[in-house]
Amino acid sequence: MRRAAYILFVFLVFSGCGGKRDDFNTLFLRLAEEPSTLDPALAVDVYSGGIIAKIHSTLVRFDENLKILPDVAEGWEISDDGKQYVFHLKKDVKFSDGSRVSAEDVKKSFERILMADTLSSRKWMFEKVEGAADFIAGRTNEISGMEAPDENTIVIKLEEAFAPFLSILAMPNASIIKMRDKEITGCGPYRIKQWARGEKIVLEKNPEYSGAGVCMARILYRVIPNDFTAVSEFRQGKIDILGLNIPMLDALEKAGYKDMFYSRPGLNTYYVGFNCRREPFDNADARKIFAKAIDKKQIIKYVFNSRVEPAYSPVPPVLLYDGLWAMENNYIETTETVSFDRPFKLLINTSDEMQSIAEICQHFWKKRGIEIEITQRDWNGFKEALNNSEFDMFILSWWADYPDAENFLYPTFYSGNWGSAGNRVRYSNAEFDALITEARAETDIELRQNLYREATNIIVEDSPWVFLWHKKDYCAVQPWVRDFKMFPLYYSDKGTGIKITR
Amino acid sequence: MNKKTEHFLRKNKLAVFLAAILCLILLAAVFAPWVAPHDPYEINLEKAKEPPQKAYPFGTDAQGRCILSRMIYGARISLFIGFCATASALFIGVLFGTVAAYFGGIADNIITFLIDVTLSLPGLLVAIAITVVFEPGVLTVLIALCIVGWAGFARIIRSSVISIKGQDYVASALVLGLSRKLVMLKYVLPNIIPIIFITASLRIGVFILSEASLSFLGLGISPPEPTWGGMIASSVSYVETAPWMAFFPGVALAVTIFCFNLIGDSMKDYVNFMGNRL
Repeated sequence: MRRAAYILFVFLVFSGCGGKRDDFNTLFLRLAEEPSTLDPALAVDVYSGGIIAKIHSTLVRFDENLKILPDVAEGWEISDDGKQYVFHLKKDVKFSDGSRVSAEDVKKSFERILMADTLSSRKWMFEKVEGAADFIAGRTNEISGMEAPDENTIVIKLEEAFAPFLSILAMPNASIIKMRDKEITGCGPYRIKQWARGEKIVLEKNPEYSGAGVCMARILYRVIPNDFTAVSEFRQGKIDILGLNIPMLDALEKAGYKDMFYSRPGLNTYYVGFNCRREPFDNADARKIFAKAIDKKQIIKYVFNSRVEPAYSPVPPVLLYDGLWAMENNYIETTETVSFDRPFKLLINTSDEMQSIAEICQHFWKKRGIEIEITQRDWNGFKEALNNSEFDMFILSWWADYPDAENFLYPTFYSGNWGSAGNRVRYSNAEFDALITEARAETDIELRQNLYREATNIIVEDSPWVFLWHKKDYCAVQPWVRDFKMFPLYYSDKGTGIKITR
Repeated sequence: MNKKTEHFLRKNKLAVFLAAILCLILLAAVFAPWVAPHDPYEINLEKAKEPPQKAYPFGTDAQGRCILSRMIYGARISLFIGFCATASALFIGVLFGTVAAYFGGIADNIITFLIDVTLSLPGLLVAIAITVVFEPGVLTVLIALCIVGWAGFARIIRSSVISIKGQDYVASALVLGLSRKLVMLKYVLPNIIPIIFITASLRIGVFILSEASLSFLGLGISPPEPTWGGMIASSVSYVETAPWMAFFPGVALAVTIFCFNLIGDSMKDYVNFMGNRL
């Protein structure tokens, strides 16, 4: 009700002030949901992460091509065994209160995530650091593997080589912060000016920020939950950049806004997961029968108007930049039918999109003589049923935390990660386990990619998932926005470089 | 049909018209397999999101299924749940209401307390909680609506029985030595039948709408079973590009609920017109 009243209010206020823009220093953006928190240690959703990235800085960050760039650190060295990271901090980075960012701040920021009373769900980011387990358990009050030998140097030692660690340090949770009386101060390009809950969040330029490219004086996020309200706000010129889902894209295209679209391949995979511990899905050949029955190209063409990329493996092609050889998981046209002794339970959540996909999958399986019952649960019930393995099959998507193929292979298929850690299909294959463990420790990018490819091929051949598609990221950008870049990760956009022209 | 009834119907042409529409919807639901132009479950991706045309009078949905056929089959579920939920809630309501009113004392206190508690809870939220806890399906939705809906009936029945209990003819029947049970069945219950009919026809719309709300939230009947609420829910994303998907089920839902409410109102007028007798 309050949301409805708010939408009405926004409508009444803004419908009165016409389409003319008189503020060239503010970037107007939309938030589909109120961020749950702006505390870097606690943030897990994209809304929080996107804002945190603009008010905080990390040691390293990604550019628009997923290349790692220095941010608070000006340079770093990784030892040959891949276990020791030495970061040299820039000397002119300041928090928004004017104080210098020192190596000690970096250490404290990382320790805070691991502290029990912070209640962070991102402890795994630093679990591989030497002494982290003791620190988490409260046996020590310092992490032995994290040292600040002088003001500008931080040394992090890992228990074993873990190649994606540098990528993890670019996540918004690894932001360098300063705590004073429970107030968090950041060192990003912007700082929070106002947070009116349920209404808007205003960021203003951080005067102490030493980096280049902050051209906007303010960023104003308005909370607009309804997609089509956001579309009409965009059409009235009251939102500068709007992230789009497919219905919004269709609506804007119909209204003639096609030349304002930008798109990028997204870092996600939609899939049908099998319960690999339950008969008949404990057999790869049976799983392949299910996988080969689904004509994803047809779904993509007619349901998504070709706006998603077909998936041939769990890893989005951007992260695995060379061809795969296994293609065991794809649709094959046949009129042959198979018979199983029971109908299978397909578990989905209550989203309309998932329901639609489930009904179509049911249709394709029925063509092969396979009977499916769809069970729809609300999000919490769905997660619980998933974690307790109460399903034959389910439909879900996996979104990257950090841009490394490992993030699509290790959490989801490693036998030690059964259940809520990500391997919800309870897949286990010793050969795969060995390959992915080796890949995680390999610091040479070429060799690592080869190992990832081999591991991915095992997954494709074993088909614990039916790989459906990778969604692309779309957004619409007003013509007066200059130097816009689309980032493949929601948190790599620091809000810098972008300009508004008259 | 007596003269008075005929006169009433002549004066209330709208009610007759709406009753006719409702009958049509009912007939379509009952004879769905013969009436529906297509198989409501038949997915045909090449025909997805087609606007209304000769082969598909109400267009097709995102999976290429015929919207008219799905609406006709959806009417079955909506009406079935509407009637069954009303009947079961009514049964509990009448039982508790009469027991409370007629016996008074502790029974009345306990039942009145239960009624108050149930009425003070937000109905739809309780229904949502129930559907979340149990396996989704027709039975769960029915139980949820029944738990939420009985109290409204019980309260009305209780107050009607109390007022009838004070009438002289009840007192004289008791004085004549008839047992309380007999008085209840022969003199009290027949007199609350008009009230039962009126409240039931007014409530049926509410139940149909609640089922639609649950389906809209994805907590009703499991897909691919068509329900009006579910059909509206799955077309929300296409409101701008394929408005027919939400429009027709929405109209069907609105018309049906409107019919039930207006017929309930007319029934009330009719009872008043006939001097509180059916």
